Amino acid sequence: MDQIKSYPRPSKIRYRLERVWLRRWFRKLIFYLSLTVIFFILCLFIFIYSNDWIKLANFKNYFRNNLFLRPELSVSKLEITNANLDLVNQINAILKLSFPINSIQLDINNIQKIINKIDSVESSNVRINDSGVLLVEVIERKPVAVYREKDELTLIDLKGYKINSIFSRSDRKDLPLIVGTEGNYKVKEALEIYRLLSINLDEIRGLIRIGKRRWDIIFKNNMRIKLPEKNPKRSLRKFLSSDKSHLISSNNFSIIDLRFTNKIILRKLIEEIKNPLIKVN
Amino acid sequence: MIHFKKNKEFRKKLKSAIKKGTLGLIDIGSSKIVCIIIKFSKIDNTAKNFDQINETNSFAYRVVGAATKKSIGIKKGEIVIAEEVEKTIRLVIQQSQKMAASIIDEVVVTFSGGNPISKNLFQEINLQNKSVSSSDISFLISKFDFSAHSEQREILHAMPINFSLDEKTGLTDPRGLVGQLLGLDINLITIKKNIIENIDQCLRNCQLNLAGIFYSPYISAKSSLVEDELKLGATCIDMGYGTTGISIFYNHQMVFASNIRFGGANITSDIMQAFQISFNEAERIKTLHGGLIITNLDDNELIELSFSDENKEYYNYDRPFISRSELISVIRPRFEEILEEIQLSLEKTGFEHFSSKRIVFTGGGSQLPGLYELASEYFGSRVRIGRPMRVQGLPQALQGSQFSAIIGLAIEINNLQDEVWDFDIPTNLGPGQKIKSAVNWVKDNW
Repeated sequence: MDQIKSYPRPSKIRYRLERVWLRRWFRKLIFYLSLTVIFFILCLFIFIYSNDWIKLANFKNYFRNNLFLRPELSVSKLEITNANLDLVNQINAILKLSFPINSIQLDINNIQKIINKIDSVESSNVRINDSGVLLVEVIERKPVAVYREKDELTLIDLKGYKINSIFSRSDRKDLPLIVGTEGNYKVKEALEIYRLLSINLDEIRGLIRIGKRRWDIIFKNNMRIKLPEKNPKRSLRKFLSSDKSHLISSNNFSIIDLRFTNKIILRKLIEEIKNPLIKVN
Repeated sequence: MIHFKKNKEFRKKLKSAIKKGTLGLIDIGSSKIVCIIIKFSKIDNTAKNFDQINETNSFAYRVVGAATKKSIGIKKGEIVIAEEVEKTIRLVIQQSQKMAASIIDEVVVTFSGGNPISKNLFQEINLQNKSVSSSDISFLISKFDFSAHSEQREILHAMPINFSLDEKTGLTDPRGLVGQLLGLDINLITIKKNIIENIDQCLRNCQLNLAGIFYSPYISAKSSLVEDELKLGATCIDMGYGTTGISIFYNHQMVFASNIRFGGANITSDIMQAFQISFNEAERIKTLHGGLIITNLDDNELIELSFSDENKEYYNYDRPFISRSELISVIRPRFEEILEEIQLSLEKTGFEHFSSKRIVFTGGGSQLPGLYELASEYFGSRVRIGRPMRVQGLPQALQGSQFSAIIGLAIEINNLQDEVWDFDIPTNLGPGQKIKSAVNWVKDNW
């Protein structure tokens, strides 16, 4: 029975150490001790460096030079595509960026928001190139008509957005004129009416929105075509395709009233009025 | 008159450990030292439903750490080399603490050996037709003369096992009953002196407090006997390595305990001498190929004697093989001798007068194949090979019958048996203590 050999077992010191380690108060002690040691090391560090505040400032510069001014992160140029010179200057003036700049500091989403707020911009796409170029792709609004409101002439696009103001009508003679409150909300209809007339633009002074509900066409010779509220295009087309269409080119009338479906009311020019109303049909 | 000061101190430590939540249990055996750590949780006072209250267990407990190691320096269940035992206890404690991730300060120990003697004592008092109160029981216990038994030997257990009132007997709690003569049986187990002191010293060197000491045949019976066997009476035989423990239970109380100084180690040394092989090799072939009944097949079954043994040149390995029948023929005579010893000591107790002659074998030796057949030849048919009950959280490796003592310890701690020192034995009180006892009386009654 005595032949069972001895085998390795822990020493007394190791046993006691392990038992101490299992005590909760000992673990807490170690934890707080290590905390205080770390605190003292930090204090020592600050104490050494606080004697020389320039060193701390150098520390800041070191981070700046090494982190923010790395060539991989810097942006050197702003490129704006699909925009005319006026818009480019406008964007440059708004963004006020000074290059080179760190790409971390650039807020691309914010830049895009700012650019989209410009009147003549419909949408934009902002990104940073691999070669450190801030690319701004702009889709401009296309002016389709001139809109006059309270003696102010503005260009508007198809959706009725005001793009920018112009000084006189003669600046954009190629575009039709729309007048009247909320006339810019119905640009599409106005343009279609223009297309139906298929006359040189010079002969028409413009379209007036009356009472926010219907259109009047005014010609150079102050002749007016009054269009109905409902289906103005159909009644105009009907009038133009009828045998009375020559009435437009004759300079005898001041008003051609198409507001009624089954009749056309004409008003003669004042000097020729004998019978004020001539009933056709 | 002795005051059981030490035993009361053990109980106090045990209660404080249970309150703290963790307790270590150590089985100091001849072949191995096992330590398990159990964690207690308080009774769920918030349980509203009656079903939620676990009535059988006074509190929930769970094994959180366990370790077992080969023991050195223990012979026949007694410490022979204190330093080696200390080292092994340290290792076992360390490993189980690591597994449990918590520290233990109080340990409860079970051990066999110490040449125990079990004695039943009887005393009775005259009550003059009054109802029995707890002070009567305390007075009755104070009439026992324990000091006569504790002169040469040390008292390990002193369990009140049976109350009798006039003609009635088999009472567990006579309080409130009216009678004239109140009698009490106490089962007293004494062991050789200084054995507890040795164990205490070993544990103190490992920075541990001894919180109780239990005799291992009693403890392993607690885990191996089922409820009916405890009630109707049964004998539990714990076949250990160094010793074989015997305990007889009747009416949930241990009425007798004894120890035979033969065990598995004797069988191993027989094999070692018979085949001229090393002790470790003998132990190996005993556990792997051992048996008790020879069949024809065993003649042909050859067992290879290992050559990997490091000091094989000292042994006779001329024969590379032995047959299993040869091995059995070595094991069986020694085993029969052990069974004879058991029978002898059972005869001394008057075991044949028992109504239930149930015998339950447990311990490592009970795993030998053929034990059931051999034992039933000796003791009649009422033999059973017991396996320990299940304890929550115990590893699978520790659920064999060789661990029945340590499992029984966990069960016993959970449901402590009353011992003599749990009662307030009246002594000659001083003036201060009188007030104290009056306060205690008020506390107990309101």
